[in-house]
Amino acid sequence: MYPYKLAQNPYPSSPTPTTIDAKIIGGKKHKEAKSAVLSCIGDLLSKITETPTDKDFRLITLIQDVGSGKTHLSLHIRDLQELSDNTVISYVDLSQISPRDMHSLYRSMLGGFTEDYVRNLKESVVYFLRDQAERNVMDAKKIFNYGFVDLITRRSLTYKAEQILKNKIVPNYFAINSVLKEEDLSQTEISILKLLIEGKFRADSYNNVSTLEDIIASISAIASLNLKFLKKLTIFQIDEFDSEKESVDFVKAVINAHLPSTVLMLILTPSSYEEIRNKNSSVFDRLEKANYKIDLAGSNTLEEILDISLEYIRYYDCGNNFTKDDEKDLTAKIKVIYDEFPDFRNIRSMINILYHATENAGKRNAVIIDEEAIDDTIEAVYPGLRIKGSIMGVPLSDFFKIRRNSDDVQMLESDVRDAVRNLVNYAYEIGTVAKPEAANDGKGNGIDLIYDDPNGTKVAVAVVINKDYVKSFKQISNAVKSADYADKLVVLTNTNAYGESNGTSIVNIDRYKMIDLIYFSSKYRNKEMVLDDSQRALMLAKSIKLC
Amino acid sequence: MSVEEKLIQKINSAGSLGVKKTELRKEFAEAETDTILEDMVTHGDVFIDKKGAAYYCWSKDHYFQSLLNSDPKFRLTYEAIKSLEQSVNKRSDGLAETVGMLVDNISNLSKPTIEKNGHSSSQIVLSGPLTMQLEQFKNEFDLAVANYSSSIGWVELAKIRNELYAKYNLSNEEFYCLVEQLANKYQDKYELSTGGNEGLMVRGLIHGLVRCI
Repeated sequence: MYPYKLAQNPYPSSPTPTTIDAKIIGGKKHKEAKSAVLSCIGDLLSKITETPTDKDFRLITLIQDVGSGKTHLSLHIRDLQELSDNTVISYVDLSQISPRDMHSLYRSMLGGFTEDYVRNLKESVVYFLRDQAERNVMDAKKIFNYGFVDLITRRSLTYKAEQILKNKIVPNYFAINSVLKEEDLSQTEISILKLLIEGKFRADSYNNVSTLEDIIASISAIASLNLKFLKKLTIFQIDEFDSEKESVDFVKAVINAHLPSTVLMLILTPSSYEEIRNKNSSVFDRLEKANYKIDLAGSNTLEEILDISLEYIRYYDCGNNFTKDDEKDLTAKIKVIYDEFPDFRNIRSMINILYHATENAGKRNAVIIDEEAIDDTIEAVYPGLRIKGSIMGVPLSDFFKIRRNSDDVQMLESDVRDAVRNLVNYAYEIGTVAKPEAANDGKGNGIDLIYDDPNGTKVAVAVVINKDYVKSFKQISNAVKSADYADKLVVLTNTNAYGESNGTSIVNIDRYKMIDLIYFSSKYRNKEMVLDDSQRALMLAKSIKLC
Repeated sequence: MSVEEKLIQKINSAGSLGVKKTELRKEFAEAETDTILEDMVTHGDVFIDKKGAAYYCWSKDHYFQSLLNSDPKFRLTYEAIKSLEQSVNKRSDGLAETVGMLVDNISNLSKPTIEKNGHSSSQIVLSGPLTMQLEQFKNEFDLAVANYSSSIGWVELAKIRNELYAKYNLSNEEFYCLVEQLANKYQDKYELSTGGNEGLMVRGLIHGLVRCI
């Protein structure tokens, strides 16, 4: 059983999205981008008449960095149920095409259509021809070789059409040619339909085209046939579009052709966009004039990554076991990962961590994705990763726990104060300083600790941690006034303040130092200090001017 | 009292004149005087030097005084060093006073700002110079992004770096250090993208494009 009583790991394990993963879409930006694409398609659908013209062409660009969810969004759109009634989509991944030339590109465009689409189009065409035969259109019955024997054995034209669809009889292609010509179909369209009926739809890329002009004519013909026989728009999604000459020239031709009832969706990175600008201003100009420029700006923000991450669990949480508290807890953990590791500030990396963490938690029968799962994951999958600036070498799991508790400033101040006392006590135990004394005289003078350093200097320590820096300033002033009996005053504060004068040292301790201190304190209290920790603790004390 | 202590006492009592090594041998005939003296010399407690035809022993301070009295070159060098030390001390006191005044002035200046605004961006005693630099850098950076951005908002970091180099002579390292700080501090404001010939390294990839969200 997986955490949150999930029957399966909701997160995908593959480095790039699969069709199944792409069913789930989360994140405000991604949903907005999806709406924009749907709006473009809807707009075109509303304007299309039975006879498509070159005005019925739309160009969409989807530009964002690698790992931000472009391909996921494209696959999600391709498989949308709401689009299946009025569009056919060919998805092409240019990174899988090599060598790239107009033939391989055209072949991949044909390959991008699904088998369902090919079957549906074939059925539509064959039943259209059957209807023509039933209406006694000239030569139409010849297509089905419908004769006297069929009549007396009461074999219907529908039966014969089904036989053709099952490839059990061979239709009369000469008659097909003759009938379709009457429908004002071009020779290219007729050739494609004949190949389709023959079960060789994708063979067009080998047989009938030799020039770019032929290819554009064929693509245009397919779009027209889709509208005529399926009443559907054609969408070509070209993923990983880049500045390679062959692809750029090909796309330029496609755009210039104004394919009828077609949406061309180009998916590329900002880097490729810049390269195209530098290499081919003509194509760049066309991209600049795209009907819709889908912007995934902010797709790597915390809010977006959180929403997407949680959406996977929500999707698979059939029993509603993922509670608000669970959501809050997981959100806090994701936030820590996001804040502390710039490497994980994109959805692909975060999903990878969550996949492994879910597996880890599942194997231990943990009810939630706990700190240990995330810690183990990062250690296993990203072994080189460390908390930046940690002197004590705080393990990630402890870092997560302390970091999450540090939102409560009062608790944080109290923990840091205890940690500083423990650190000086420890320094005393190993003979680095004289025995410390508590300085709390009950008057709230702001001094937390007094001790003598190895030179006999009396050192007073004040810990000042606040969200309100004005309050901190007052506390520091009080501490300075109260410490006149000491030779030296060390103020440890989070106020972003520095300075050293008249025996007072203001030491700024950032979040990492505080976590180091609290981690040390916990080890010291629980008597878990080992030799290495001792050296680290002394280094920590020196770094905040305590020794 | 041990022989060593007695020896030290004897040498100290001789003052800056020192005591002859042969006298010590005679007085402490029963002990291994040479070995004990060697140890003391090794530890820097006793100094032995030739004066006339005989070897004399001194304690550290008395040997120093003896050198001052007997060696004019040493005395002159010592006086020159002392004069230099006094001069340095005088200047560092002046510097400390100036820094102290500056600290006070900055504290006084920041105080009303804190009280007026009452929020976190202020510094209390003496702020680190980097924060100011970052804010100034942010303004320049935002301006450059606005000036250079394409229709989709992305700008090559190299372009911005060139501009800031021309304006402020900002080095490559400084520029990218500040960009990194900026991107970390304002995570929701800036977006980096892979590409370009130079940029920040994230996940092992050069991120050479930026835009404001």
